[in-house]
Amino acid sequence: MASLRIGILGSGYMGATYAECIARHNQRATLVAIAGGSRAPALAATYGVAHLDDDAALFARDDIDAVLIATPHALHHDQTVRAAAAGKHVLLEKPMAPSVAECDSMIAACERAGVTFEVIKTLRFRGSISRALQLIADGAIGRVRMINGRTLAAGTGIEEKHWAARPESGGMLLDMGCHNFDIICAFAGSEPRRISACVETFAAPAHRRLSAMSQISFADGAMAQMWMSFEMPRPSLPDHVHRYLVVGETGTLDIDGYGALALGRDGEWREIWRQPPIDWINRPFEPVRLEAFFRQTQSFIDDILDGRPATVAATQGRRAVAMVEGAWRSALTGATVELDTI
Amino acid sequence: MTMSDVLILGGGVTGLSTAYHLARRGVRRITILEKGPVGDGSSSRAGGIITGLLWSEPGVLARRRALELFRELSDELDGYTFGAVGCLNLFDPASWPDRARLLPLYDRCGAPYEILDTDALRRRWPALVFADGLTGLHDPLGGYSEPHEYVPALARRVRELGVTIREHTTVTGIATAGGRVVGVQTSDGALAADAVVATVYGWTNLLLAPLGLPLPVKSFVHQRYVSRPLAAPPALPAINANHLMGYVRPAHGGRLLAGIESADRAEWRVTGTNFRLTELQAPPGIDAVLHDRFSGFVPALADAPWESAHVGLLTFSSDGEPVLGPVGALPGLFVGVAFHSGGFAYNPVSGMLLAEYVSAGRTSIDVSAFSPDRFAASETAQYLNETVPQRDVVRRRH
Ligand SMILES: Cc1cc2nc3c(=O)[nH]c(=O)nc-3n(C[C@H](O)[C@H](O)[C@H](O)COP(=O)(O)OP(=O)(O)OC[C@H]3O[C@@H](n4cnc5c(N)ncnc54)[C@H](O)[C@@H]3O)c2cc1C
Repeated sequence: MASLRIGILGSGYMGATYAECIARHNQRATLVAIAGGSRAPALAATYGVAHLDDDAALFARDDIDAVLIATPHALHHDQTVRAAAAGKHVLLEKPMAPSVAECDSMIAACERAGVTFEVIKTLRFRGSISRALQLIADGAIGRVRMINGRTLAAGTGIEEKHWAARPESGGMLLDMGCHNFDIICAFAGSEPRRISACVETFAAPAHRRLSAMSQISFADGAMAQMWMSFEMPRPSLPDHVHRYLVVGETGTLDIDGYGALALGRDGEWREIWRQPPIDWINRPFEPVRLEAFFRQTQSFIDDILDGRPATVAATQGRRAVAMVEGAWRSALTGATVELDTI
Repeated sequence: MTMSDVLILGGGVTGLSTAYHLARRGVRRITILEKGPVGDGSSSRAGGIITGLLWSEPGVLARRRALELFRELSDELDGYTFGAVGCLNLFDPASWPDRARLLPLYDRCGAPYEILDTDALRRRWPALVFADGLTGLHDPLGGYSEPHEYVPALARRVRELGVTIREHTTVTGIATAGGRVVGVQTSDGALAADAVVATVYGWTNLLLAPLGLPLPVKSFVHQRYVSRPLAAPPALPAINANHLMGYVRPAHGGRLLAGIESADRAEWRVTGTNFRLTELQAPPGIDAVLHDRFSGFVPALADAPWESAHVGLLTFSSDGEPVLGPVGALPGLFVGVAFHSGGFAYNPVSGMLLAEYVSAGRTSIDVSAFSPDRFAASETAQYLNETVPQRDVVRRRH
């Protein structure tokens, strides 16, 4: 197979983002068709590819090897299981699914079908975070001991009518929490064992699970805290929207997800890199934004074509959902949750 | 829209107990929705008899915990005392061998019992008349609760623990979106929740069938009676008198409580949410049959006519075991129903298990055999289409 033939399910902001990546930038991949969502016909026309009526039509196509699913969370399980049954490889937008039970069933379906199943975690591929991960891998701060993460904003940016605000979508703890927990695990380089959390929604009636504080311990003794809130009073904390401190044996990383990456070691702080500004609304397809998405789609393509192990395995998508579920259960009763019970 | 962590549908003992255990586990936003007053279903009509000596391993293990919990609640709840009189299960020569086969199960599960032959029975309870050939299986930990004490006491405690009980609020539907439960519709508007626990017993399929998830459960009319106070109340345990098709136990104020099956009746179909148990009637003359039959066994009863009658429903599943746990096809939905004739006996532990499922996703006792997912849809449809006479349901008492 010289080129991976890909169909996209979903035509929203993310569907359009991945269409741009695959059609214009990815190597060894062809965008074949787009289905799903009111914007699908226009999106397909933009890239001169087929527009199909629904997901079934996409799964039925012989000239599609892999599907990229960027639909509402609640559809992920059903669509992944059916794509696998049709023999398609799957690259699935985060969060993998609203529940661990669904994740397990999706993983089993893909194993049965013998298809590759990867989950999108673009934050790992984003500038300062991906560089921080590389520094940790290179031993720049020694073994990771402690992590503190903050994702703080004055609002979700999601309209109340949008599907992501509906209760079945699992609220912001699922939507953003699955990112945060995945990044924390990637920094720790160890498996999470226990979580305890408080989860609240202080204000906005239509949105759910907007604020959470979690405490996580890892198999190798590392520990982490994650504070997430989408109901900060304005003007919130402009410089701390998405920030992590990663403390190792010999040094510290200060990672602003959309700003500077600094390394504190040998008695001094050094700025390693600084994220150029991203204009999410007006210039979404500038390389500075597209980079992270492009890198993830390319990894998926290369994994399949070169027979490599998954870059972001579905089991890691499941792990993040398990942490979200663990955080919610812990918040429900106040008890610490052993993650291997989920 | 008000947001609850957990909505419990039905304010019978199963729902109250679920709320109690959730609150004890630290869950804060719990609401019970009950279409009548609390206890409007079978719970306030039950005989309240409990034995730990059931027929399956999960049943025996769950009941062992229930017996402990009744004793703990007896200390904790104001106005409720567990009647720790033991429970005697009687078998005639034809039915004993089946039960004798279960003794290794009781040994394995640590459920204590005593086997008494007719002579031993006569010596132990001289005020009772035991027919020749009876074998007694005595459960020293068994006993009974008075529903009119237990139900209000548990409801009071649940309120103290911060649970909201909304009486006279009828759930008209379970709300789903994206393949999961997101709340309910009620006579009073929509309510949102992360988890919905349906403990509506005889009314279960009115809420589950519209979701395409009916359960193979059937209800039967059942009745029990309480005598006038006896001049000299005899000492007796709670007795499942299988050979008489009924049961008898001591009751408050020197009375006796007894109940009997009516084998000739067909199932009772609950056709509307508004149905109330007050619409039910016992079969004519059954009170006299019961009195005759049990006066021969408990002669002291002969001079004490019935003072009150209670008629309600017993809900059974097609295989006779409880249906308890999460509904796999609809994340966020949990059910607890069909506890054969022992839903009162189960309630401290059925509520505990439901609370564990909701808050931790797993239970401290393996009751996967009670899963609502164990029935094939085609078998359920067939079972629901048949009319099942009471004599054909899996005959299991308390
Ligand atoms: C005469 C008799 C004797 C019995 N003796 C014994 C015994 O000795 N030992 C024993 O263990 N068991 C006994 N039982 C069985 C026992 O009573 C039941 O198994 C038990 O009470 C079931 O409790 P529950 O909470 O599940 O159901 P219920 O008490 O029936 O509660 C269900 C509640 O749900 C409410 N509801 C229904 N639909 C809706 C809706 N749509 N919206 C809101 N609320 C709704 C109802 O009003 C009701 O209050 C006896 C039963 C009867 C009738």
